[in-house]
Amino acid sequence: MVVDGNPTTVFGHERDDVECTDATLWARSRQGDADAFGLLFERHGRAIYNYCFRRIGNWSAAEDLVSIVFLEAWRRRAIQLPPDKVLPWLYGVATNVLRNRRRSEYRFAAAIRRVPRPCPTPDFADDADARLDDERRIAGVLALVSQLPKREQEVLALCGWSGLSYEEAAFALAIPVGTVRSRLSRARHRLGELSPESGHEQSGVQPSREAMEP
Amino acid sequence: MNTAHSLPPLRDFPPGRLADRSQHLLTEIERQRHLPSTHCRSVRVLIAAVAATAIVVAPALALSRSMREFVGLTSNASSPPIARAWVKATLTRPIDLNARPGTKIRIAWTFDHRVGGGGIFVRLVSASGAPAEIATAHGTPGHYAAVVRVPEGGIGSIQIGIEGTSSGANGTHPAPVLFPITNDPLR
Repeated sequence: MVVDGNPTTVFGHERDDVECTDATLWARSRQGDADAFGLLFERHGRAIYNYCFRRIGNWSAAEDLVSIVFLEAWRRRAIQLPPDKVLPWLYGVATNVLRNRRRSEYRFAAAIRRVPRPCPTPDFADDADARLDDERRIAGVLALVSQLPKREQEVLALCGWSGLSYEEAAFALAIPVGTVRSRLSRARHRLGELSPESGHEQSGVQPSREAMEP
Repeated sequence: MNTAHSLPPLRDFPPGRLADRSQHLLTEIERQRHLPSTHCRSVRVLIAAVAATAIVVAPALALSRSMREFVGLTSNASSPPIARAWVKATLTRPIDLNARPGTKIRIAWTFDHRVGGGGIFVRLVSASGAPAEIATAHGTPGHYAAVVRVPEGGIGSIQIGIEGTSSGANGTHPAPVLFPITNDPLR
């Protein structure tokens, strides 16, 4: 729902998310501007969507989790963020949502029930097939990665899979940069041990190059 | 490296879902914005408890019907509640109030705020107490229309609302809410 009822005059001029930086949008969000927050969703929803999918292996559930992540972010909008840390912070919120998934889903269960049912799209068959294949592939990766401690999984997913820098991952997880480095190093080492080539195979799956080398 | 276990590629939302989710997010934000605070809810629960007690005790005290109506708890108990007042509907085309029962009429309206999430409907209540007729609205956020059959007994009132649910101790059940109509021809 639009605050002023006029979506074309959100900022007093034509809506243009190209010129609005994350910092600007976040500042407006903090003032209660839902449309600015909506632009942040449209800008970063895809990244969080893929991050959630890679952590849980289910596209449909990832879609709901994206909604939960942004509802949670809106709930915590009072927080002041450094200008270039909006996306890393969203990754951090997503990580917490994933970590406390049951509690988050309970908190926003009513909101998720109000998500409109998707309309059937006739040309979606090929994409659906590819997504099913994605889920099979990520299941293999997750089977391997799940053997790592949770904290190492998080660092690996943020740095290795989502492309965050050490500093950004540290911000997202609220831990020192050095801790990110050490956890990622240990994760790589353990994955190396778990790979079949090392002779220590435990899971029957091989780590991906991306998972090993951010 | 075995590609069977490599990471799947990054993907977009399924077609149309980003817009749907974005609209849903904005709707939920607006919903939260107008939710009463915990303190207000406590006060309302207290008032509701007092009112419920009053309506139970009133017959015993032989209060008149008018008194109970004054309390506001007797009539329209089965009607959906009026939606929060910040969203109002305005009819954008005249309605033939004398249309014969069974005929279909088109009703169009706008909202003064963007309303999304689906489940928007128009309901024609019978003037004679016969079952109401309801139709789901179509359109873009802000502009809606629906074709609805005139109920038996003619048009008694027009209702525009959105489907919803309410969760409580007895589980989740449908709880539609109605939007006030600024230019309701029957008021």
